[in-house]
Amino acid sequence: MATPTGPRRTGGAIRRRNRMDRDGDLVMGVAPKAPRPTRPALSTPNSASLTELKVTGWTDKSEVPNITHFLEKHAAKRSIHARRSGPVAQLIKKHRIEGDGLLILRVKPEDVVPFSKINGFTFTSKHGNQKLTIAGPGIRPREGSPTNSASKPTTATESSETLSLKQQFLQILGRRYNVAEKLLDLSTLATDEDIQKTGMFDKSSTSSKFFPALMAVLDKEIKTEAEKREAIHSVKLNDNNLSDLALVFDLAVTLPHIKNLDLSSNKFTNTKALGRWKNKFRNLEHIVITNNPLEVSQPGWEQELITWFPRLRQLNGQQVRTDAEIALLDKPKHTPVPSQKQVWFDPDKIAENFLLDFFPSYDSSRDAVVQRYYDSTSTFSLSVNTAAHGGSNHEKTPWDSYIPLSRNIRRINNSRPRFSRKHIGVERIQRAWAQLPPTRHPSFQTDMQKYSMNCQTQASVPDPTGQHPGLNGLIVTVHGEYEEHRTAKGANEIVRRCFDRTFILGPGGATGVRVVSDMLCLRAYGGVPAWTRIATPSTTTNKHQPVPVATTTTNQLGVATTTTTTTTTTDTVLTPEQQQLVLYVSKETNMTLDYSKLCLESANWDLQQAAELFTAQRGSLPAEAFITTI
Amino acid sequence: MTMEEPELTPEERLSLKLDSVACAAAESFIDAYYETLKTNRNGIGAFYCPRAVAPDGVATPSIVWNGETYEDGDALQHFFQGVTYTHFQIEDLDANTLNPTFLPANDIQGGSCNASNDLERRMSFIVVVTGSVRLEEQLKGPLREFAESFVLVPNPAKLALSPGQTSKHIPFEGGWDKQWLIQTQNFTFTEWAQDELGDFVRDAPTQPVSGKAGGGGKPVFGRNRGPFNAFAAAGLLGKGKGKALA
Repeated sequence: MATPTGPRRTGGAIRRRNRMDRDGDLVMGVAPKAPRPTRPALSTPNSASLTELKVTGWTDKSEVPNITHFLEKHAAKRSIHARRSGPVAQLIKKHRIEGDGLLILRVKPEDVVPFSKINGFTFTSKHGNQKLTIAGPGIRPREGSPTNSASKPTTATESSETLSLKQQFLQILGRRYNVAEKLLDLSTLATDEDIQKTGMFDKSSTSSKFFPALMAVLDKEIKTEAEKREAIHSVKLNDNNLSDLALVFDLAVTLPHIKNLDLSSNKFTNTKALGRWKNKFRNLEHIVITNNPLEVSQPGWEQELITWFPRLRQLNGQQVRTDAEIALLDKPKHTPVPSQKQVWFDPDKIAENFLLDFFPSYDSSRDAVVQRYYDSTSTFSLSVNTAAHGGSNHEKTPWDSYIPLSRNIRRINNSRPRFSRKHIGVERIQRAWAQLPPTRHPSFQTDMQKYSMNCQTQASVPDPTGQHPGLNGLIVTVHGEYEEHRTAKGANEIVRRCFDRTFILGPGGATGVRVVSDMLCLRAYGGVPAWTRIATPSTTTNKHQPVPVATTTTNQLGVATTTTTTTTTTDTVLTPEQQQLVLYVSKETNMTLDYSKLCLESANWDLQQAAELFTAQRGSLPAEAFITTI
Repeated sequence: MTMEEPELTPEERLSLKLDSVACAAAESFIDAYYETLKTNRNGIGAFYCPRAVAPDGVATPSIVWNGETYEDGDALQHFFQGVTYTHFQIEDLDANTLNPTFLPANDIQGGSCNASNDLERRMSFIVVVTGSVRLEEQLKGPLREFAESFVLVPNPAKLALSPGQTSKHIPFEGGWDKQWLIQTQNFTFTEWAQDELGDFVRDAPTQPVSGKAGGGGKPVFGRNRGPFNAFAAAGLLGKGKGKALA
């Protein structure tokens, strides 16, 4: 699981082939460093002050320009100047060929380091891959390169040095590991005498490698993730003077599973300093971060930190999540099934009466509807969804009559054109509606199933009299379809459209109801409305074989959302009509199917009686009688 | 269509200003909201105004998601933590100012405290979206169509003017900072996904509907006001179809 993220830069394919010792291996830390070339006092780049580097390993003279370009390019990337913005000046000042297969480069002494870094890179020649070896003052020899056979003995001592260092590391880890508590105590590292003996804290260049190296040793010592998970539950990193994660980031790579982490008494000043561990310790349950500057310098840091670690229960000893919340993470996820339930909170039948009048009147006499329900501050806007991807089988009727009015702000980008498509006041709304083709909405009496509607209280709609900062109104969302008499471009046909319309209704006007805002979204006709019940695919049945239910008005109004598996529990004894009734009662009462069946049986399968029975007994029913959602 | 734009009255100019702020806010909000639903469900609760019950008994926020009501943002967040992968794609977006004086002028810290000023920070607005939603898994899961409406109300903590701030421009370039919070929400799936349908086909609207006689002439509105009104709505109560079925 350890992700190879980290502060180390990984080389390209070429580099990786030739250099095996980059990844936190100890060799790097203790490798004898070549003396840095001393910078001349006055860096006038005359040819005398240039350093000569010998490049071998190539064969074809005609490729020398390519080779110098190759070296120049790779060295430039590694030049200290490359860190700053802007192009790097030419590094190879001069070059010449000496004899067979020896290329001499002349570079400034301060530019030797980048060439040292690319020593041993592979150049793709016409004659196959050729490993280029660079030699000269300040160039570190590469292992196994033929010209540096003299340095081989040092490599051998290196590995014994590595070995002893590894032993030291293992001792440190052993001493700091508490078997009983499964705790790895890495606190106050800098003052540890054993660690100081490794000599790694003497120089800043190697002290930064101490922790990654320690983690690498740990990684090699405990092989499998499962073993690590079992062996180490907790890590202490307190009192380490840490102000960011540069040194200790690798903990998340080597031990991503830990449950407890102590970061107290460090120098973290904000959550940003810890940012690289965000979402890393997925099993972390307890983090201690007391006595860090961030506690005072960043109010609200707790909230941020909690979101980073999904299973965090305790932060500085305070409970931040309940077991129930965490249990939820492991619960199997579900996909919500489109509901046939509609929320209709309209105790005074305001929205009901409005809609019963609105749609038939909108179809027959739009001007009159505007007069009746809209006033000088009412707004209407229309937007067309020309690219509905969800659903299926959409009709491709052109939108030409609507597009000039469409205010889809994903497509209309400037504020003036947007504003001109927002119609404010009676006259402008009448004008806009006059441009829209004639429509016929389905009847509420016979085609109720073609609609899905919700009505909720909307607090603080504007008061037209200005006496109150806001009044209670209603927000009504209507989803459905209509027929349109399309006459654009010489057409003369009846087409169908789908719509989603959001009304905000407020008190006022002659009818007592005024439309504060009317926003109409249009979509292509097609597919099956999500509030139509189709047998929902359950997890155990073949999801491509849902069985449609009959589509009569009665059934569509009457059938509840229940999975097919639960229906089969009843259908062994019940007639199809009885099943329908059970589902119906279950939907309307929220009782389970068994209790619904019981209720109906007691009522001799008479709905009226069942209703009375339920009303009379609902208080005394046990909790298990009802379907619990979520 | 004339190229020249007509002169605006002062009221229209104000209205244009509020409209452009509402549109910019809506775009910023909607991107952040659906991204959070996809990638950081734990952050969804913070998009909502805190639960409050007014003296007249009206509770906010008012959240309806797929036919279920949720008491507050945390309740919806809790629900969403148990939901599979979702990817919402917006296909159509519109916004409209609702109440320009939702907040009293004094609530804008550093504002003018003048009843007719700072409206772009005091207004509530409506956002309507239609789009598609991919469920269960990336690319392969069912793709349904949805519609959603929001009312957003200002969050004074994020709309304060710092002293000496000359530009009253509200920046959205840096992403949504919850300058407005959700007060009302309604989410509805509007179309089944193709692969959920099998061979189910929508009946033609011109096809005569059977069962018309049973419910004919009866008002069928308001079927969700109580459990048994719906029985009546379906024409099933009394001498209607219920007994016939039994």
